[in-house]
Amino acid sequence: MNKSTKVIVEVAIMISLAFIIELIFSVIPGLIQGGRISISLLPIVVVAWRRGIVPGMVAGLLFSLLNMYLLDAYNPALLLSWGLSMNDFYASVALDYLLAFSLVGLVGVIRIKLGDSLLNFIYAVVIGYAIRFTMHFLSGVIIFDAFAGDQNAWKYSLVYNGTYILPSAILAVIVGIAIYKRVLSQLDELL
Amino acid sequence: MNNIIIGQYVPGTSFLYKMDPRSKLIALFVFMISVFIIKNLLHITILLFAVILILRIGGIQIGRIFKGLKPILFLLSFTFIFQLLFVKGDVEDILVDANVVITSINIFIFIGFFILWRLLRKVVKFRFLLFITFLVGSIIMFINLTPGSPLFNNPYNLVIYKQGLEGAVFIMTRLIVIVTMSTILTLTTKPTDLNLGLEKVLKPLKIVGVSTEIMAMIIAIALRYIPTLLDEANKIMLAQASRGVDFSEGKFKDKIMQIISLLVPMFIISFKRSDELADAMEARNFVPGKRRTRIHLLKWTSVDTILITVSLLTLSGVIVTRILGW
Repeated sequence: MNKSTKVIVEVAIMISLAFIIELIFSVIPGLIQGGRISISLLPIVVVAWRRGIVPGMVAGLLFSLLNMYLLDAYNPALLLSWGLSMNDFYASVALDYLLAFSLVGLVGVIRIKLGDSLLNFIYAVVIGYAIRFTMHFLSGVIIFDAFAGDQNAWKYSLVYNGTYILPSAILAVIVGIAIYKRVLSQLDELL
Repeated sequence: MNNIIIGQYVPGTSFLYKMDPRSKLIALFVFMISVFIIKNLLHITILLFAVILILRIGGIQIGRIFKGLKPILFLLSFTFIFQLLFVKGDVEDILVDANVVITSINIFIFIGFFILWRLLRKVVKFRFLLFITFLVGSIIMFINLTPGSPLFNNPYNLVIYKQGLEGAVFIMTRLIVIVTMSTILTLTTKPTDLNLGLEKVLKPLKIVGVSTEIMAMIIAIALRYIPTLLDEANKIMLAQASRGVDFSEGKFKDKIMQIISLLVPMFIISFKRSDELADAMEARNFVPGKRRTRIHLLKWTSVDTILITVSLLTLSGVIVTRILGW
C-alpha cells in the first residue's frame, strides 16, 4: 500500500462519503433479503481511479465493514432465523460484503492501462458494478439458493440481484459523468 | 437528518462501560464459540441466565435488547413454528396429539377472539405477546371446544413431538443469547473505542503484511468525518432548497438532477477536506506506519482479567461436557 498521508486520508474521507450516500439512499425501501438501489460504490471507484488498485481495495473493504456493522447491522441471528447455518453466514459476509466491495478496487487498473478519459471512467464504474453483481450473484446461487423455491437458482439470483444492481449502475453512470466532468477532470484547479 | 444515530452506543456508567474494549472483544469471541459448541438445551439455558445476570449487574435495560431483537422477531417465530410442526420424533415422545376442528359454533368464538385482539392491540404494550396469546388460545379453543357440526370433513391433526419442542426452544434460546451478547458489546462500547480495541486485538495480522494501524486510522478518520460530511450535505440541501429545489417531490429526471446537484459539491468538499486534513497531519509530523503516542490510553483492569478468565472457563467447561457427553 502506498503509505503517503494524502492517500490514507483520501481513502478515509471517501469511505465516509460512500457511507453518507448509502445513508441518503437508505430512504428507498430495499428488498426483503437485502439489497437496495444505491450509488455508494461511486466514491470507492473514484479512490481506485485516482490512487490505484490497493487503496481502492482497502477503501472497498473498510466501507463494507462499516456498512455491515453500522448500517445493515448484519448478524448471524438473521440468517439463522431464515433457516441457514453459521457457515452460510460467514460465506455470505465474505461474498456479499468483503469480496463484493473490495474487489471493486480492481477497476483502478483501467486508468493505469487505458489512460485518463471520460469513457474509461464510465467503463470503470460499469465494471465496478459488474464485479459487485458477480459476487452477489454467486452468493445467491451458493448460499441463498433455498429461497429460489421452484425456480432455477441461477435464474432466481440473476433476477433478484439484477433488480437493484442494474438501476444502481445506470444511475451511477449518469452521476459519474457529472462527477468526472465537474470534479475529477479539474480537481487541480478546484483545490 | 441531524438525529441519525450511528451505531447503538448508549452512554452509561456501569462496569461494562469501564472495561477495556480489547477484553470485551476477546470475551465475546470466546463466548460465541462456546454457544456454538453447546448442543444441550439445559446448558444453553444456563448461559442465557448468565447473560441476563450480566445485563442486570451492568444496568442495561432488557427493553433495549428487545429492540435489537424486534426486526428478527417475525422470522424467529416462523422458525419456531416450523421446528415445532415438522420435526418428527419417536411415538412415545408425542406431547400433543389432537384434532383441530372448526365447527359452526366455535368459528364465532374465534371471530370474537379476533375482534378482542384487534381492540386490545391498541392499548396493550406487548403486542407480540398478545398476538401469541391470541394464536395459542384460538388453537386450544379449536381443539377442546367443538360443539355443533364441523365445517370441513378432514380435521387437521396437530402432532407435536418432544424433540420438535426441544429443538424449537433450543434454536430460539441460542439466537437470543447470540444477539444479546453482541448487543451488549455495541451498546456499551463507542465505535471509536471498538476501533482502537480491534486495532490492538488484530495486531498479529502484521505478520501477513496487513498494517492494522493504518486500517484503524482510516476507520477512525472515516467515523470522525461522517457527522461532518452529513452536516455539509444538510447545508447543501438547505442552500439548494432556498434556491427553489424541492428534494421531496419532482419527476424522475428532476430527482437525478437533484442527486447530481447534491453529490458534485459533496465530492468537491470531501476532496478539499481530505487535502486540508492531510496537510494538517503532516504539519504535526504524522508519518504513516511509525509509532505514535496517544491521548486516550486503554487501561486493563482486574475486571477485564476476571471476564477473560470466566469466558475461557466457560469454553473449557463446554468442551469438557461435550466430550464427556453430559
